[in-house]
Amino acid sequence: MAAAPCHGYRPQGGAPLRAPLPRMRTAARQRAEASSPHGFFAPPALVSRAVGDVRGVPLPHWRRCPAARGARRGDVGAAALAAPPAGAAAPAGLRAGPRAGRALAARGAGAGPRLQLPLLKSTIADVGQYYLVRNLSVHELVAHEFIDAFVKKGSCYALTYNTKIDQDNTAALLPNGKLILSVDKDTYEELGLQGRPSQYSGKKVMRYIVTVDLTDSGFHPDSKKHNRVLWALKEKKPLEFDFLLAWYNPGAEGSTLMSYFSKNQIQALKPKITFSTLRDLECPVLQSNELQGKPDESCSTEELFEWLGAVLNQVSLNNKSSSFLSTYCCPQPNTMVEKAFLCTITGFIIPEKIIQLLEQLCCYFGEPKLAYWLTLTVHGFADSPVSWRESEHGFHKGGENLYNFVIFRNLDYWLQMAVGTNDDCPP
Amino acid sequence: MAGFADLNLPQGPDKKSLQSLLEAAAHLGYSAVALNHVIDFKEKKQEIVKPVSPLELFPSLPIVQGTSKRIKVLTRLTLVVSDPSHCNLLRSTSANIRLYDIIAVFPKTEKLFHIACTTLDVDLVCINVTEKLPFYFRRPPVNMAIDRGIFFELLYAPAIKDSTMRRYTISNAISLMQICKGKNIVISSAAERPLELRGPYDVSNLGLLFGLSESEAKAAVSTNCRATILHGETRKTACGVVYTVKKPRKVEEEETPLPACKKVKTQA
Repeated sequence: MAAAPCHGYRPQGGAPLRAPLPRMRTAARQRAEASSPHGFFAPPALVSRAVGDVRGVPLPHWRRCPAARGARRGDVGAAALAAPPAGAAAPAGLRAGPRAGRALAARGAGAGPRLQLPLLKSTIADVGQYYLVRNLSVHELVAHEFIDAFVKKGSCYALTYNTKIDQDNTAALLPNGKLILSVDKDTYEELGLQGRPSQYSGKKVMRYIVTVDLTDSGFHPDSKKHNRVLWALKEKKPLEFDFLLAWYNPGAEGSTLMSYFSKNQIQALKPKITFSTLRDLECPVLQSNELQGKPDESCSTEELFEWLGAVLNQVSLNNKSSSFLSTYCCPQPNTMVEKAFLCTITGFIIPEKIIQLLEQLCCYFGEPKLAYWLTLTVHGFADSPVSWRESEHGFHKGGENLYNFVIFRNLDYWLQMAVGTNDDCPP
Repeated sequence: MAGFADLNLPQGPDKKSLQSLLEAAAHLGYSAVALNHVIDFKEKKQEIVKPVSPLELFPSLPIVQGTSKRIKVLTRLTLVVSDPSHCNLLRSTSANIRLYDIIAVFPKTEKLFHIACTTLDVDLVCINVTEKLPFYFRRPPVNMAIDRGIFFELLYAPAIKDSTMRRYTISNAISLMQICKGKNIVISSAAERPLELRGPYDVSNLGLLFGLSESEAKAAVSTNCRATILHGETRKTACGVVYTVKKPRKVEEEETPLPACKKVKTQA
């Protein structure tokens, strides 16, 4: 295992303080989680929607960080139970679903941004496209033509658009072939399909989850199961939503989603990408094998997580006395970075594309660079019925479910996963 | 969870201000609102007028933010009673009262509070938040009201306007919570201007101040409002199980029994 990568580093502009400053924990997190003055659901950072992860896709040729792996279970368990955001962990493999993603590269002074930007931009531009279909009935997703053409070949992702998980009915199609319907009490009683009450119900159950396995061997065209589901969704209680769809199929061409749903109003959309350069940013100093951080030498994972949230929400880090919103400061020890590059991708992004993006970001460290680490944060949709794998996701006052990769120069990485109130612990 | 609802939007004479109120409520995320028509018997005798149909008032309803459905507008009647003779109106078979979706009563004395909780056919009992309560809540009538499926309503717009009313709101709400233990509470605004409206998550945070638990506070803006609306609907049915619908061309026919959510004693 390579030695700690941060030897030879000297803080610029004065020595770090003897005693660490008291941490003001709450400002950045409250911004990210709490409602804005009018009580809207998603903080400004989260824009679009996606389905939670299902399959773990093993990552190729990654070097694991042994210290982090040992610390995984304890950290995640304790932190996740105590308060909504979870601690750091470094599991094997990437558990992901379609997401909105962000990449932040911290760079040192002197490295010309113009040389690197086109390369990164070209990789980011290829995040694939997704489709928005209006007024699609759910029974069309259960039709056998659809299952044979899309669900059984490659991975098909679908999520209802403009539905709230705690108020309306929601549906999602996972790449392992399961159709999840999260319906309210009235709809469940009228639908007639077998489901279970939601985990986050309490005494009066107001939400039910119906799971239909489309790739089940017992779900062939003439089976009782298939006929019952089709009858329920077609005649008993027709459900119609606007769907976000994406399909990943390496290799064989077949009919595309666009041609299959040409009768409905379908439009192809590309994820929205924005770039910005942050100047004179205070970045915490990190050591890849020091998860808890050493006082005066490196910052801990929780401090990094908070700082990242503050930076991505454009919270000022200078603790001005005139600011009433935030007294948050960058955790010590930190270094002043002249330029940092921030890229935000918003859309219905599938995990296969996120893995490609991650691999390209690792190549960033192929040539010697002054940057010590970069991060990739992926947010799941706040209104999706599932978060990690098939664990149920709810929305109490916030529906965040996200993971964050921190990649170091020597290709060690940290993985942090965070969930909201009505969520299971991440795997 | 059900959609968020605000069950008290005072219905003023001005149509434009109502429209802006509706747009603000839809923008904040409320799926249903109720326009409140208040009748106060202290003033000279008022007739109960037919409720104005929301379809006539508002040609196009705004879409709820974050969904693709339009906001639902209901009609509500509030009777401010300070004398037992005023309650006779509710017992009479006046046709106009039946046309309102929700009926609420605002008792001013302890005896009337007891009558409202135990015998009157209402959906909501309003709790005074603008002045010190003239009576203490007692457990028997409150428990009877909970059994009958009647909800207690708390307002928050007076608290926004004035700091003295803020104190009374919180103290009255807390004394109610001590007796009813957080069950059957509905929190609504009595907002006359769009600025006095607050988002549903903020209102449920206010419920935490009143002493509700997290789930009870969220239910006060969503599930309990849905139960109140259903309770009001059952008044138009026979025992809450069967109701008649006039079909446009055919002769009146009876619908088959509805699902269990339509029972009078709403177990929803």
